[in-house]
Amino acid sequence: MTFDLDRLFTGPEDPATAGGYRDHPKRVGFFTDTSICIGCKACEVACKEWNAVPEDGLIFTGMSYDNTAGLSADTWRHVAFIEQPRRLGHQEAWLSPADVPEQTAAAARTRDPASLGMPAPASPGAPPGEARDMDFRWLMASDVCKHCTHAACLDVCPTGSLFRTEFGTVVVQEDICNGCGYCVPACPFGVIGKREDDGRAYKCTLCYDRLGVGQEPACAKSCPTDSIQFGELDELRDRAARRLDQLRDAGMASARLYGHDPGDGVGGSGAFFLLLDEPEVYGLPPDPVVTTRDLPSMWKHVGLAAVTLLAGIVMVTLGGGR
Amino acid sequence: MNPPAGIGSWPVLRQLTGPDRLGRAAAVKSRGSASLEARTATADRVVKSICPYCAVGCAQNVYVRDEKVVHVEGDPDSPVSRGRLCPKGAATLQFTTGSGRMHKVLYRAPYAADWQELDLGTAMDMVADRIIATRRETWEWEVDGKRTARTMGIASLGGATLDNEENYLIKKLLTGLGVVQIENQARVCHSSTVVGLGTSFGRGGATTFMQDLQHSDCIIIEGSNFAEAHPVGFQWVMEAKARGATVIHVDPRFTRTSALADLHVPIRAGTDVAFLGGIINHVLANDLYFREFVVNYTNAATIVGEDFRDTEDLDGLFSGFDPDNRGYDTDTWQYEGMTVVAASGKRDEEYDRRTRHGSSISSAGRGEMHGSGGAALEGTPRRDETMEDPRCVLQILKRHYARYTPEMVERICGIPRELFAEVCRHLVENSGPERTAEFVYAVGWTQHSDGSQFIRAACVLQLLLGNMGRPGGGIQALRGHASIQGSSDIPTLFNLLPGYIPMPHAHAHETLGDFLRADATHKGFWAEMNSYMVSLLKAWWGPAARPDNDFCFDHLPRLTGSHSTYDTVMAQLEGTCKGYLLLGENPAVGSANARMQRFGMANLDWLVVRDFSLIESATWWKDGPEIRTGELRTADIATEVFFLPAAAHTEKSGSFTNTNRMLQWHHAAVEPDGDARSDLWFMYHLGRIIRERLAGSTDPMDAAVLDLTWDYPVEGSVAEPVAEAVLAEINGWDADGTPLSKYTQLKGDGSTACGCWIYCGVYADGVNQAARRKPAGEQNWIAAEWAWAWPDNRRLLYNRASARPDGRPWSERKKLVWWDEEKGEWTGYDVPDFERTKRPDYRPPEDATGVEALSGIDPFIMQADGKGWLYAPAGVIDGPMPTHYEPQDSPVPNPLYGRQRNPARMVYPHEHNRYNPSGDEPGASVYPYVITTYRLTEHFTAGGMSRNTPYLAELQPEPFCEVSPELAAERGLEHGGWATIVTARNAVEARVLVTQRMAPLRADGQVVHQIGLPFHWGPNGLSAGDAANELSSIALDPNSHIQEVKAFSADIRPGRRPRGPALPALVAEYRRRAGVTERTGTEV
Amino acid sequence: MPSKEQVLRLLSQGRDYEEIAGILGVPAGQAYLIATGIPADGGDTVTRGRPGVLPSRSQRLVNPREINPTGRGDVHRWVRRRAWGDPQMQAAADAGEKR
Repeated sequence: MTFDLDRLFTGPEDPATAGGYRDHPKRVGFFTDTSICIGCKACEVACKEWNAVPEDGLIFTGMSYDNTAGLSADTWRHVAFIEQPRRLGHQEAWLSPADVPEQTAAAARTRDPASLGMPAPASPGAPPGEARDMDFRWLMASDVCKHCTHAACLDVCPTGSLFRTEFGTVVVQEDICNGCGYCVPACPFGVIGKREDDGRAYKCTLCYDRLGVGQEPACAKSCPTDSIQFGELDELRDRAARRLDQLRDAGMASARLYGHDPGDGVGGSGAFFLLLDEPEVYGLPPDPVVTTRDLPSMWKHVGLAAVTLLAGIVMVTLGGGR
Repeated sequence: MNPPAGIGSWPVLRQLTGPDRLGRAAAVKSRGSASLEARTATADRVVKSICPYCAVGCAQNVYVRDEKVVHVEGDPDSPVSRGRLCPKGAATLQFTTGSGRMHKVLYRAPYAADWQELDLGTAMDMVADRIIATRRETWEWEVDGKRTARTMGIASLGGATLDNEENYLIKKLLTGLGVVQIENQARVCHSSTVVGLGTSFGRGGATTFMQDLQHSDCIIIEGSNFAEAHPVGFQWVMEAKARGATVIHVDPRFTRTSALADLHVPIRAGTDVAFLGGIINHVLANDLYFREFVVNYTNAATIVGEDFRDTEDLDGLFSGFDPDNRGYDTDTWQYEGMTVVAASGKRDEEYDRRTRHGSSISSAGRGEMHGSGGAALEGTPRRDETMEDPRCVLQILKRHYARYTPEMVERICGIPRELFAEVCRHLVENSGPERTAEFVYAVGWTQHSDGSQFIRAACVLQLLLGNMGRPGGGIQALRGHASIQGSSDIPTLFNLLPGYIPMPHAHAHETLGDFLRADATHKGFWAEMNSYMVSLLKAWWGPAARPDNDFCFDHLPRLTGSHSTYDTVMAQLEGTCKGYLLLGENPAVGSANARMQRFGMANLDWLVVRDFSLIESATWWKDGPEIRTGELRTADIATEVFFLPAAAHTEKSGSFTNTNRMLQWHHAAVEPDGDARSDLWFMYHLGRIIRERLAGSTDPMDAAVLDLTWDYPVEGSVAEPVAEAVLAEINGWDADGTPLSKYTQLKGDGSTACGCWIYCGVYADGVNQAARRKPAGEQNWIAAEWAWAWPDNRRLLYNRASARPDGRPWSERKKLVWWDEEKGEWTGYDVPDFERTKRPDYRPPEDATGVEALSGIDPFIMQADGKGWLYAPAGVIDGPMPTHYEPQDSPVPNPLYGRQRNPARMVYPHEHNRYNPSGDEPGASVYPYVITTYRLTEHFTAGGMSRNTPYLAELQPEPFCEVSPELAAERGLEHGGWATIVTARNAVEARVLVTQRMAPLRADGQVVHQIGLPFHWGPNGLSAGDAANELSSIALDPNSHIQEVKAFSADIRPGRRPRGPALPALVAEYRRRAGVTERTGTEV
Repeated sequence: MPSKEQVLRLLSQGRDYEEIAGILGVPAGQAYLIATGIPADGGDTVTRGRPGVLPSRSQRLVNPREINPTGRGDVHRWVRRRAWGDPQMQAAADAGEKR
């Protein structure tokens, strides 16, 4: 078995094979096509029901219809809602600026969100290449643990609680976790968290127990529009590529895949997405990197520095006394 | 690879000696991970069930271990849901097994400050005693000399999420006790659908089924927020989209449905008739209608009588309006030379004089009897096949909608001309022989003071475009509760008997024969009404029902007008209705004018509430809003209150009828805990106890309830009635005791019994057809062997119209049902909604009656003339064609006519029910904004099934209102802050969500701001707040008695509302400023 | 856990999933998921036509025994008792037959 120090945490091998499973199924994961998400949050509830994840706060956030706010130990599926602006005077209501009282117009102008410097999004169904400047969009997307090919949480876990399963997923073994919390800052996406009362780390398991009996994860099963698709990862990547082509042909220039590329900073994700805008719009890091990527290089440099220091000391010690 | 035992299992050793050198996978798999078991696989059994929330009817698998439900998830075999569940369905486990449910009986003595526990048996006895006593006290044998044989002292409300079998027993027992005020959520939700679709097509339910959406080329969702309220059903719209369909969403707000639509059309709430009328005008004026379909399958060619006058002639009125009566005499609307069969036969004249033109009959919502069977007509209509005659329906339609131009649509609806033109283009381009378009609607259309007309307008349009009866066409009415279709079919409604047979009215000496002659048509399937009626009477009164006593026809109490839930509230306030049973309904949150609901209940002698938890309608006496304002004091409230915990759907067996008329059985997975019982148990044992108490009575008042057949088998440790036996009675049997298969087997001589003729066949061959679960993967898209739909398991109604007059399909692409000349029968993918062997070229002889009078080109077989009605000469009492009126409370004057509102609407003047000034009336500017109420995906109706369930409550934890940035600026509202909303009824507070999804509109020269307000909240539960229905008024559609909650006017201001007496003071101050009096808004 | 190739090989020998489960020592549903890449409890949205797919009812590989009775003898008997116990109904039926 090869042992390449530089690629310790970033090698291209199939993670389950790299994990030493002699026989194992093909890698599985999620393809979440956010272009067909209706924002219903069935995924949030189905996940909590199956995994007995506690309710984590009745808080009105005012963030559109998102009162969940983000992934944590107590939320393993999170639906984000992004209302993309219309500009006063050009909205569907077709009010011309002259119709609106000055006080209202002034207030609305100050309220107008700063432009992201992006071209105005084309609405679904618009003729190719034509972006209408009056469009309004409400993006909805269900976020989840990425089950990275190169998973920093897994790398830093000192107890072997976090482990790579036969399916290529990353799972916290609650019978092992000691609550040290190293995994929490390691995740480049901010997915994993610790439960206050319990003390242990928790995150999405891709329903490891359900996979064990041949059932799909609870969120994927429940999703009314099949926005969350579960299956073999390579098949999902093919399907996603075709779906992307379809959307681009229909004029949706801003559509893109996120997490599909094995060459990205985490080696590609087991859970990847089709987004309709930049990842930052959805609260996702644009260029995530497994935080342990530079560890081997760092240790090498440390080793080199130590050797150099040692050599220096030896030289000084042996060469001294003149 | 599972870890070996003993020291060999140590991860360190496995890491050092095995292939997983880094210890990140195989080496560290723990014992826990290796022994993981999914509880779905380790359960003892999985029981087939159906979700109890909305009316999509998603199938559920309920997993049981050690007699406890351990998980609930979707059943992938379902052709409707394909294993999926929305957040509510997905929360079923927590909802049914969590701590939000009650399991003990509670009792509040008169004037008591708090609850006390009570044992179930004692509670049942006490309730039975109350019913018997109140009934005796308030019994009424006659009114004005006409026999009524009833009690107006008792009423019941609920329930649309109860099983059909439960609603059946509720209606049967209470009717036997002489109670007529029996209602449920169907009244306040989709009663307009029954009228609108029923009078147009002959049956008052969705004309198609959700899976068929995939075949549509253009889907218009209007008056519905499909993705929000029926998420799993919405997958079929996505299927259509994936095949290239255009999806258009017409809605005052940009919602989760709009986000997935190709086009969002913002519309001023309450103006859909103008919008649809505009499209109708566009289609007619430009000759874009599907001519061959229209001339053959609709009444476009029928000649109307010469005395008819249109709203164009009379500035907003049709001919025949009687302002004293607030209603129309519909004689002048009739087809030339024909009459509507009078509702009460030969006695009608006398009755008319005594009761001011039979207003009591019209006010009783006769339109709803067309839930199955269109209005009865006598005579044969005259037709002009060229459709040029100025008095033919098509020409009348043209004239009526001539002023609904794109400019007028822009003025009324606030929809720009270009956008309107786009909608017209998509619709027209996707109709015709090769393409079909479908309308999907819900309560955005029904809940208006002219709601029946909103639906009629879509019916007219779909008939003109030739989309009825065709795959990917038709009208999908999205009903909203698990079995609200069932609670309309069975029904727990005051004016109907099972199968949409009307409840009889009080008339002198009316025999069964008189009643049947009155209400049966001479042509079509409704001619068999005596078979349906007699079979029902045999089911209810069994051996006691004989020809010599008119089959116990006189055991039925009689109506004398409208006895809807809103009339009941008035009766409670007056003190005539003293006892109330709430069976899974929460009027203190879910009914219009919540405050009035509570004042009504505060006047009761006793109240029985059956529900999962302490809903607002059970606790108002203790800490409700009027206790907090000081208007009521707990110590002064005499109402005795019983709270009986209800069993969940996982704890009882029964059938739900979904929004596509499909009955699906759910089996009990476990028995209920504690004192929780099903409503089947409650009604059955209540009836048993009452009959035991009254046994041997010779008082004629008790004959009806003692004669009832009431001997259902019971089982289990709690003596639960066997629901399948009730289903068998609903289905019916013959004298051999063989379950019937088709309603054509029913007889009028007493040799058959059948509890609901449209459900006849659900227990055919003694097999529970509603429990059939043949997987979708083994059938075509129609999936006829999954469960059972009425009528006769037909899934797509009026499908004769999917073929040409000569019987060939309109096109290969859109073929569904067609004539097979060789076999001499109709064939195809669905059960033909037509007599199987009737030839397309059959034309009836002059004197034909019954089904023989229907020709081979009469696809609307339940209509008296077999045609789809563009113009309704009968059945809809506020106009034969839809016409635009402003909502009851509206800041905009009606641009079309001098008449502001629907002149025939029902108003209820009362100090608790004041209306806002509207249009250009003085004071209208005090309430300048338009409120529209609606659902959120995460909650369910009045909140009893979601606000106490943590997984749902945390998704939408507080009530909020949605306002545009422009309105927020105008009124100083802060995003995330609070706002107070005020109408002439009450004031509420809500968090503020400023969003560009709400856009101001321009209507008739003024800027109209709309405010969105979800209606789920009340002061109880984990997620609590003010109820939106505090703001709404009671102003009803005269056909369906449904309230207008989708559009009314209000003011909004920043900050929380006042507490205590300052709250009613604020409301009063507004009224003063607006000059509100008891006459405001009540003019015709 | 077995690999996809392992399960497909056993399938090609004509075995069903219950047998394969016994041979490999894994739940039948797991074998199905591994062989086909589709869950045993999926709705029919993914294209069929791949080796090992069952046309329907694959959820049986996961679930315990299913409860869905569709007809009860005691109800049939009760119906007959109701009908036979109604003299008017019997008389009407006799009269109808004679006609």
